[in-house]
Amino acid sequence: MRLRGLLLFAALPLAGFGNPAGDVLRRQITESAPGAVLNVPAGDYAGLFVIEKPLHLIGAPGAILRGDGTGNVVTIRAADVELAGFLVRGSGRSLSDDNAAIHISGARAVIRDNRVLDMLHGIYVRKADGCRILRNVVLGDSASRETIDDPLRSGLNPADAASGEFCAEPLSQDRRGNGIHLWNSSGHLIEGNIIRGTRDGVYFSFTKKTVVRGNRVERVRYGLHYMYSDDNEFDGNTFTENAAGAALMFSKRLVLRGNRFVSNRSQRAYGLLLQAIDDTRIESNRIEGNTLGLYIENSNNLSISKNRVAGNYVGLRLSDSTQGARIFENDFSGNIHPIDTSGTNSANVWAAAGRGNHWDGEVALDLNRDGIADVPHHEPDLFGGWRRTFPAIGLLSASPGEQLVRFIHRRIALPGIPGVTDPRPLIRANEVAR
Amino acid sequence: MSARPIPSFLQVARAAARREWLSHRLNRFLHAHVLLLVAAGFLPLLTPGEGLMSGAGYWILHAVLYAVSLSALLLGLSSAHAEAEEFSWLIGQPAGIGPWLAGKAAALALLVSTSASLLIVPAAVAGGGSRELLLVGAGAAGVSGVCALAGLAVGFWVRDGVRGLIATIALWFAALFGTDLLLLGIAGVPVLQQHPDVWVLPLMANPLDAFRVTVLFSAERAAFSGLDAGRLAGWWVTHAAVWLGAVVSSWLLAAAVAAWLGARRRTDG
Repeated sequence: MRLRGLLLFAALPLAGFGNPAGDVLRRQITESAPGAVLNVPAGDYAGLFVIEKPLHLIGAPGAILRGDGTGNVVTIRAADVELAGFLVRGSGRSLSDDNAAIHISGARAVIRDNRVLDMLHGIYVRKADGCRILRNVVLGDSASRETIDDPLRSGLNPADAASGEFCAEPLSQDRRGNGIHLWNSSGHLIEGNIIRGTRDGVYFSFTKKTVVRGNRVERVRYGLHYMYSDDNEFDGNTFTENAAGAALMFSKRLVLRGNRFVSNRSQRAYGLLLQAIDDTRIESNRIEGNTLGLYIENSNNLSISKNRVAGNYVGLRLSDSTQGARIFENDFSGNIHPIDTSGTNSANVWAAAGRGNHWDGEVALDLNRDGIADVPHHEPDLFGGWRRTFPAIGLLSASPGEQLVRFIHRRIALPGIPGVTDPRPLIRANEVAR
Repeated sequence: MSARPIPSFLQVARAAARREWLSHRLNRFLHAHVLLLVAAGFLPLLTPGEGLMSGAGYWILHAVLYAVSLSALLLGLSSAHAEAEEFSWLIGQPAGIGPWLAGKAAALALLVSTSASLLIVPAAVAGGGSRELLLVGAGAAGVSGVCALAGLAVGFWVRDGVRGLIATIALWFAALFGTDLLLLGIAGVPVLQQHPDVWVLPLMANPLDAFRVTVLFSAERAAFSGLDAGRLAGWWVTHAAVWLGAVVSSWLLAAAVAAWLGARRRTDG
C-alpha cells in the first residue's frame, strides 16, 4: 500500500535543535510502511540515510540530503526504492570503501531528477538489477582536463575489473570517483543524465542487458569506462571533451547507435576505443574531432556502418588482430589521417551489400551513376608502424609531400605501403552518416 | 658650383619603396595575387555553421601552401624583373645598391604581407574571428613575405625571364614537396630513428612546414599524438608560433641578403 504525502514532513526542517530535520527524516524512513511515499519539503537534511524497505522519497525543490563526509549519503539496500528531486551531497572520499552520494544494492531502484555533487562516486550500483537512473545531474569536483597515460598501457586494468575493485588503482592525486558506477548487475535504464567533472563518466563492469540512452558526459577522464559487460545498448549519448574518450573492452553483443564521441583531444585520447569486443553493431554514430577517432583492436565480427568519422587526427586505427569486421556506408571526412593500420587488413571487409564507404577528397568515376565509384579506393597509411617506433613522423601530417604520395597511391596502389582497399566506395556520404 | 650631396640611406630607401609601390599599381601579378587572396579568403565560408570557427585555418593553410606561396614568389620575381631595363641606371647611382634594394624589398614584403590579411577578413566578418585566426593570418603574412623576397632574390640571380620563371617554380616545388618527400624517404634510416631531432631540423627550417605545423597544432589544435617524439619535436609543437616567427624573420633576412648578393653580382658583371 502506498501512503501518499505524509504532512508531517512539512515541518521537518524547522523542528528541534542539532540536526533535527535529518533525524526526523531518518525516523520517518524507518517507521514508514513499505511502499510509502514520503514527500520531503525544501530544507537541509543531514545524513547519512539508509533505506531498507521499498519507499518513494520525493524531494521538493530545495530539498538537500547532506552527508557528513563519511560513507554514503544515501544507501539503498531494499528493492523498489525511488529517490527523486533531491540535491545530494557530502559523501565520504574513501576509494577503498567506494563511497558514493547514492549507493544502491537493492533491485529496481529509481533514481531520477536529482542533483549530485561534492562526493566520491555519484550513483553507485552494486549487485542490483533493473535500476532506472533518469535525468540526474552529477557534478564532480573538477571539470579540468588531465594528462593521463594511454589507457591501453596503464589506465584500464582487467585484473582490477575482475575483482570489482576498480577504485584502488587510479592516479594517487585523483580523489574523484565516477559519475555513474555499475558493477555486477543487469537490466538497467540509464537515461537523460548529465555528468561533468567526475573521474570517469559512466563506469560499467560485469553489467548486462542495460540501455544507456541520451546521456551527456563531458570533461571527465573516460567518458565511458567499460569492461566485461555484454548485451548492452548505447543510444544517443554524447561523450565530449573528455581526457581519454570512451573505452570499451572484453565484451560482446553491444549496440552503439546514434552516439556522439566528439572533441576528446588530449594526447592519448580516443573517440571510441574497442578492445576485444565481439559481435557488436556500431552504427550512425558521430566520431568527430578526436585525437584518434575509432580504435579497434583484437575484436571479432563487428558491424560498423553509417558512422561519420570526421575531423580526427587519425580517423580509424584498425589492428590486424581484428577479424570479421564489416565496415560500410561510413563517411570518412576531414581526418588528417583517415586510416592507421599496420597491414592490409585482409581479415576485414570494407563493403557490404555492394556498398563501401565515402572517402572525402577522392575524385571518383561513376559512369553508370549508381552512386558507387567505378574503381576501388585505396586508402594508404603512409606512416604505418612508424607512428609507434618513430613518432616524429607525425610532423609530416597533412604535408604536401604526404598528400602527394597519398594522391598517387589512391590511383595506382604503390607496393609496400600499408593501407586498406574499399572495393565499392560511395560517391556521396550516406545521409544517415552525414 | 658645389656638388650635390649623396642622399642618405633612408632617403634612397624611402624613394625606392615609393617607386615600388607606384610600379605595383600597374603590376598584373599583384592584381592576380590580390584576386587569389580574396578568393581564398572566401573559401572558409563554405564551411557550414559552427565549423567555420575551427575550419577556417585549415582552408587558409591549404590556400597558402598550394597557391599563395607560388603567387608571392612570382610577384617577387616580377618585381625584380620589372627594373630590367633601368637596372644599369639604378645601380649607377651614387648611393649604391644597398639602400635601393632595402627600400624595394621592404615595400614588396610590406605589400605582400599586408595584402595577406585578405585571407582572414571574410571569415572574421562572418563570425569566425578568433585569436587562432589572427595567428593563421599573421603566419600567412610572414610566409607570403618570405616567398616574395625569395622570388625577388631569384629574379636578381636569374635575370632571364623564362629561366627565372623556371627557377622560381623549381624553388617552389622544392620547398613545397622536396623537404617532405626527402624526410619521408629517409624516415626509416636507423640512425635517424635514433636521433629524431636531426630528422626534425630540416622540417623546422622550411617556412612552409613551420607554417603548417603552427596552423595544425597551435591554431587548429589538432591533437598531435607524437609529443614524445623527441625533445626538439616536442618543443616545436608546443612553441610552434614562436618558432614560426623566428624562422620567418630569419628567412626574410636571408632572402634579402640573397637578393642583395644577386643584385651586386649584376653590378660586378
